Amino acid sequence: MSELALSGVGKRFGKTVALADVSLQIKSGEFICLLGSSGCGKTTLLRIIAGLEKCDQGELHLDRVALSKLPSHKRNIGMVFQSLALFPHLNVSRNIAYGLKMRSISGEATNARVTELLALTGLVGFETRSVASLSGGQKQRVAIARALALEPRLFLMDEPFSALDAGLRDHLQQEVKKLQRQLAVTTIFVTHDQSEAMSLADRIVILNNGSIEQAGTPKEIYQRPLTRFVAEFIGNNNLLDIEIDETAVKYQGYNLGSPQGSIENLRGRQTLVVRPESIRLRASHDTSQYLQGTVTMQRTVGALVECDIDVDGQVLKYTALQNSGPEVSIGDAVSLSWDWSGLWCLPGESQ
Amino acid sequence: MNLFVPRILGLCAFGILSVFFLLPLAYMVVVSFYKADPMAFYQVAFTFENYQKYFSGFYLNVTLRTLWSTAVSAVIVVSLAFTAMLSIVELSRKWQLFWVILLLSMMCLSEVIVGFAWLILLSESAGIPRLLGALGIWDDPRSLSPSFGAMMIGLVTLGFSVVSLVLYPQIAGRDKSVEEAARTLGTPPYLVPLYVTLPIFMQTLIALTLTMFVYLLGVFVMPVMLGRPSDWTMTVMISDKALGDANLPLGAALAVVMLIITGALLLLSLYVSRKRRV
Amino acid sequence: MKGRLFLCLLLIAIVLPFIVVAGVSIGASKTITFPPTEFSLRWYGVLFSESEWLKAIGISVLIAVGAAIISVSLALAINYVLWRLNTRFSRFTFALGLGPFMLPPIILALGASLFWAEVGWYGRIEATIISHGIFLVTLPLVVVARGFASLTDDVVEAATMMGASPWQLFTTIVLPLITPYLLTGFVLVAILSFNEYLVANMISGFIVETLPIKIFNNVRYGYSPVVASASMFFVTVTVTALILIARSTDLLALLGAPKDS
Repeated sequence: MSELALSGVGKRFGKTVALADVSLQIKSGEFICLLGSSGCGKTTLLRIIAGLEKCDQGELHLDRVALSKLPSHKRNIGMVFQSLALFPHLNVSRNIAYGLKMRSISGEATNARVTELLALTGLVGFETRSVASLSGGQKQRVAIARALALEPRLFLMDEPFSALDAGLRDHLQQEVKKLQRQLAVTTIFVTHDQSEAMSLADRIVILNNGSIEQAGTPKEIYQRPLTRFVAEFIGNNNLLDIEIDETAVKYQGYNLGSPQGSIENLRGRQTLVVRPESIRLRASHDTSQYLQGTVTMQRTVGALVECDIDVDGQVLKYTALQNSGPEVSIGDAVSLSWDWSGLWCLPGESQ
Repeated sequence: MNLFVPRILGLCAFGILSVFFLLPLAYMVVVSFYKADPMAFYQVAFTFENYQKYFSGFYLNVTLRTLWSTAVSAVIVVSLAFTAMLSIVELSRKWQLFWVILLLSMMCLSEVIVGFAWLILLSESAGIPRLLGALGIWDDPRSLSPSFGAMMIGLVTLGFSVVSLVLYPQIAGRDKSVEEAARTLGTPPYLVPLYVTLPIFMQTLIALTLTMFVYLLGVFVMPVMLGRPSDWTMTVMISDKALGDANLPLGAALAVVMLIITGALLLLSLYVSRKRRV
Repeated sequence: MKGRLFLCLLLIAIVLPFIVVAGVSIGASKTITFPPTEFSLRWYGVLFSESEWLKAIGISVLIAVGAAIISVSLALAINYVLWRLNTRFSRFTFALGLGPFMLPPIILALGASLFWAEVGWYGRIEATIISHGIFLVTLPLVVVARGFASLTDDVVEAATMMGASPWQLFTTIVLPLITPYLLTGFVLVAILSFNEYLVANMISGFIVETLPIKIFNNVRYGYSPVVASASMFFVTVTVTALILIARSTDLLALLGAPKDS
């Protein structure tokens, strides 16, 4: 039950800036996902929080106490490493008990705690197994149990599931989420997988080039991306440069009608975010629709149909459930429209 | 973190190596300038006498002879080991282990034992000559050692295991797709080692030959056991001067010359392996 | 197939001398002859009952064990410091430890002999033990370095985060994980020291007579089949020790060969 505050955290490695002025408030019991592509600084930030790396600027406060002078092992932080970092020479129980041993906690208390954690993570019966003999999922559970053994104030996970196959990853995600709710431990989870972040987090923090692009609930991030990066990173949105005046919304010489819905009161040059699934398609040129284009790519991914549509040089992405729209193939002329109510302009780019 | 303990530990380790490894070498260099004294081991002095003696002819001759026999045996060792390893890495893992243990045993076994074994095998009373005599192939069987050939066999046996073991991981872990590519491009299989594998390993082999040269330079037992006095190498001379004639300064001077040759060769092999990386 | 034939010939060349020695060692004849006409284990009896041979074996074993302890401790210290600090100084010390294997042993032997004579320890077994320990350090140094290389940063970080002090880290994580490498280094040094002739002989060969020195002197100044049985004793000890290493570790991987093939 702890809250973490980052203020102006910065870190350089030589000339490259790994983190620039990162500020973030994390509430007690919150589940945060740090989301970004590789090299965005998310792992560095996690390692700074863990005390494995020192920041050059800024300060971290855990429950209003500054962390900078506190060495890693006195912060009482549990961490699951990307490689898991299980001790290969110790069996399951001993791995879990390691931190307790280091604190000179009595044998009885240690045993009780280990038993509790084995039950919590579904590892009962594996106590004396060597960690090398475990499956991938079981190793994950040991790493999680080990990190939680000391009832940490913060629970950190660095892309723990990236090496697992999709089914198992899904299963473990749900378990972690359940466990986190049950223990109400403040959790920071690093991932590059947006669907993982969406399904786990109370709040997602999107990092790009060492700074926070946007922080918000999965729903906010998805429905209201605030920057071009987030809009493109999350959900493959189409970004249209439009110009709005009193009577019309203009895009590349197309007139999209009078401003309505969420953009009714906006004026001037704007960047319109159109999600692939909000586009409606017709299988012919139809000037009553907003845009006319040509299909350049068409594929079926499970239940979805995805198309690329070339509209006067800009390629727009279209997604729909199978059979919910017209059947089109590459080279077909199509026309596009959408419902204005769910659309959104990037606030940072209005002119 | 407290770095006091590792720092102290590092200093201690360095100190131990300096005192017991570097200091004796330095002291040896000093002694090489002392005067020989038949009564004591040496007399403290500063003289170039020992080096003058070295360049006077006999020892220079020994040096050239040594360089020749050592160079020949080093080349034979590396070619044999390379050829053998190319075949050994193709064996099953079990047989590879067998060979590795065999080679490790050879590497660990005393020169004395290996030399003795060959001595017996080449001897008139128990070895090959006796067998040939009994078979009637050789009318007048005589011992095959001491001889230059016997000494060379001894040297090659010693070096072979070391070089093979150094080459083993490199050859076992090499990228075989290059050779496969050469075959698909029309190289006959028996020429692939010559056209592809050998050139790839050339620099390694040259560096190894130089290292082997240094190693064989210091072998004492084989020349004494299997060679004639006229085959004896510098190592034997050094040991004879130091132990037999009690002329330590001259022995030290010979050792310093050998140290210089060794240093030059090591630099050369360093240069060769540097060049490979570029 | 040509390769196989070549390997067979090589195998014969390597093993044949020892077969002959083995034959001589179990012959009853007083002179060295092969093949043996009568069989007897009398020469092994002599080896293990005559006090001078027993003494030589004892000295050799003592030196081997002592040298291995020194060598492995030194290799561990150098590697640990390198791992903890990775300073230029620690890298230099490591490189210095590689030195003894790059010089012809005669140079080391002569240097050591002069040095110990000057120190006044000529004829003391400690001198041989220390010099063996130092000159053979290269092997455990390299082997133990592989052990430290196998310690990944994250395991160390994980232990540190859970509150392990440097000493606890060393005893609970580092030491258990590198123990196989230490043992391998120990056995290798012990074997090499047990077999080493030149350095031991130069340092104090007349007084501290190890088994190789004794065999060599016997060969040089007229010999009996005891030498053959002593040699076979050597071969047996060496091969057994190596097979033990091979059974307890993945020897091929330890040498650096790729894992699966």
